[in-house]
Amino acid sequence: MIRFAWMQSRIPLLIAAAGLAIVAVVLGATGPHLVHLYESTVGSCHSDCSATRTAFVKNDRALHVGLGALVVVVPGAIGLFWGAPLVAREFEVGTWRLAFTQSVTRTRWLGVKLLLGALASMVVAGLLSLLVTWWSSPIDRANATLYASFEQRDIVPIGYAAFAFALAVLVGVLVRRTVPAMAVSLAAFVGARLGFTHWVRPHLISPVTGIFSLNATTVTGVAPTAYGNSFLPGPPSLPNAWIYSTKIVDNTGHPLTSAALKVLCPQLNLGAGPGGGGRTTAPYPYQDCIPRVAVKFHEVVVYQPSSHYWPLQWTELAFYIGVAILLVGMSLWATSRRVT
Amino acid sequence: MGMRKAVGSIGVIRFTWMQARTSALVVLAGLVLVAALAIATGPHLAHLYDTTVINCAARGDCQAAKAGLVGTDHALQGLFYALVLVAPVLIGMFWGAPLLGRDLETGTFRLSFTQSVTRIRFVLTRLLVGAAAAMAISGVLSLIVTWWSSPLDTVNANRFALSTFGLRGIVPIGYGAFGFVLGAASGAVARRTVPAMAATLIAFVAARLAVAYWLRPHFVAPVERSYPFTLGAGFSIVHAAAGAEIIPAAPVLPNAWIYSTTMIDKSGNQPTPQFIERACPSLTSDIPPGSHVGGRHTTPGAAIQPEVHACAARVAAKFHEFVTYQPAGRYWELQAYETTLFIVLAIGLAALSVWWLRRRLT
Repeated sequence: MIRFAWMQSRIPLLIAAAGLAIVAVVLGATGPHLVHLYESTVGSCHSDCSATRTAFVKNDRALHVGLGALVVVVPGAIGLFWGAPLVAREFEVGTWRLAFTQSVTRTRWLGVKLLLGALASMVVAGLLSLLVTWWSSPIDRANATLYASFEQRDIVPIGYAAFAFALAVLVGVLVRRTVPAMAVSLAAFVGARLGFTHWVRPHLISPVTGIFSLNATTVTGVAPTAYGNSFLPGPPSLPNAWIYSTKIVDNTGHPLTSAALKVLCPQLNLGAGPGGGGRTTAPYPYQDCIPRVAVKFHEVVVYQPSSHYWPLQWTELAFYIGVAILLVGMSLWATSRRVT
Repeated sequence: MGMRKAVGSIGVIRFTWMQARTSALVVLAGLVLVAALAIATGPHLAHLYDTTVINCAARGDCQAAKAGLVGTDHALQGLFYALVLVAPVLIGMFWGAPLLGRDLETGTFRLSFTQSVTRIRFVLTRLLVGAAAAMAISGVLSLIVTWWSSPLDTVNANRFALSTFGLRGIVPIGYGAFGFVLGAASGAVARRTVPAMAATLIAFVAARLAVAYWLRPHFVAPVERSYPFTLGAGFSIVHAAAGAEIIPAAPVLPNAWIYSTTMIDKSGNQPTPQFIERACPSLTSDIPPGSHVGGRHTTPGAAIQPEVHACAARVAAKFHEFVTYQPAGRYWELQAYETTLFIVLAIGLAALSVWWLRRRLT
């Protein structure tokens, strides 16, 4: 059964291996140069490094963006292309009558094919993610935005590939026609990924609450907020953190309302709207008002620090693999029932 | 005689519609959803622009106002841009590849190619119907997204950027036609649907990237212009491998596509490292010569030391800025060129499919 499954999936596996080899060659040719450039520019920069960093991350920008897109698309694509035809093709062409009536049971037949396909998808996704993570590490270190590329690095793409494959197989079993199964699995996969990223990932691990003083970095301007025209909080200097929210409150937790700001800084012009309401000369600079407000108010930031990165990766991987196992169980159960 | 041929074509069109009814209605429902979403959220963006960005210069908080606008509805931006980006290739994969690939794979070509209409008329009519549908869908999506995104595009002022040029205006129409016919041609050549889908995906991405990086810069010869070198926007002195290099900040040309900015003198030579070290000794001296790369950047508005003024004056005496760019007014010209290119490619692929299928298939 294993040999049969291997023979059926030889060509797709060889194509995937060839694709990985091409990526490895391209990255191997350009990666060391990036590391060397990092060490000689950002790595040996002593004082004001922001300009050096900005200049460094522009190197190989096209390749960087392209690789990110590749790691996002490939796990889903191989799951779809390998998973959807697995069972759907048999139904579509009619060969299920042969496949389901041979010496091995249906469950064993599907189980072996599922296992081989899932393992292959996970290995391909994992190798691709490994290559891209290694190549991008100088740029990621310079950018210091660890969570911005969360889905394109390290181990989560393995989970995405397993999930896409299992989902596509189940949809193929239910829909029984290849192209509609691919369309439905694509929509379901994208929907599930977006839903998980938006609604589940922020709650996987409790974030940390930090308190920062108000200064020119943490206050970025005066704008309409939920409490009237008030200070606009900006993110403090937290490299590699995922910032959920920022707000300005005092020691008792009361927000900085428009009225409170007017009490502290009477000259501050808060109500300038379109077409007037303010002076035609330069407005009172809000920056001069910050020290007065900082006496009573501070900034509260809810964020995931960089130390939570790997726990989040493992938790998300476990989630996706768990769902994949569930879907595999459903596929096995669905094929063991009467077909006609 | 002509009537019979016309009736035959109408029959093919009706037959194609009957085959594609379900997926066409699903796509139509999707388009209606996208339009509804855009109409529900678009006016809010425009209102935000009108109230915060237009008068930001008077209030002095342009950076915060623009950043606030660009960060609004970030998830929705991602959704709309992704839709316009992937619609052409998805149409090619799910409608184009099975068009001819399915008949060839299942053997029903023996029926469909031996009916009352000729093989060529059958294939061509189906290709035309599909390409028209693909162009319509991509065009409507592009219209929705371009309209919705216009406040953001005005603030970003970067219409030629690789991430925006292909997702606005009329080029998605060309991509749609190309994607569909590419899918059909892959199906005709591969004779199997799923491999044709994979080939369409890879070939489409390769074609889009190749045109965007290698052909688009050469559609129209760029404009070359000289600017006097001023301290206004700042400059950088970087120690490259060959020595000190002076990199001017790009001139402020909203919505233009800047190819390159260099410093040259009247004979076209760039400043040598020795000249830069002599002209700006304090800016290049704290990094030991011949060693690592570093940078010193002058930011606009920051306190400017006298030695930076002196350095800029010495450099400006001999060198000026030379900029190669596409002016903003050429946007629609380049859009038209790229759309035409992809439609011509689509026509070529359609001819290839017809020629491929004209001969014996068994």
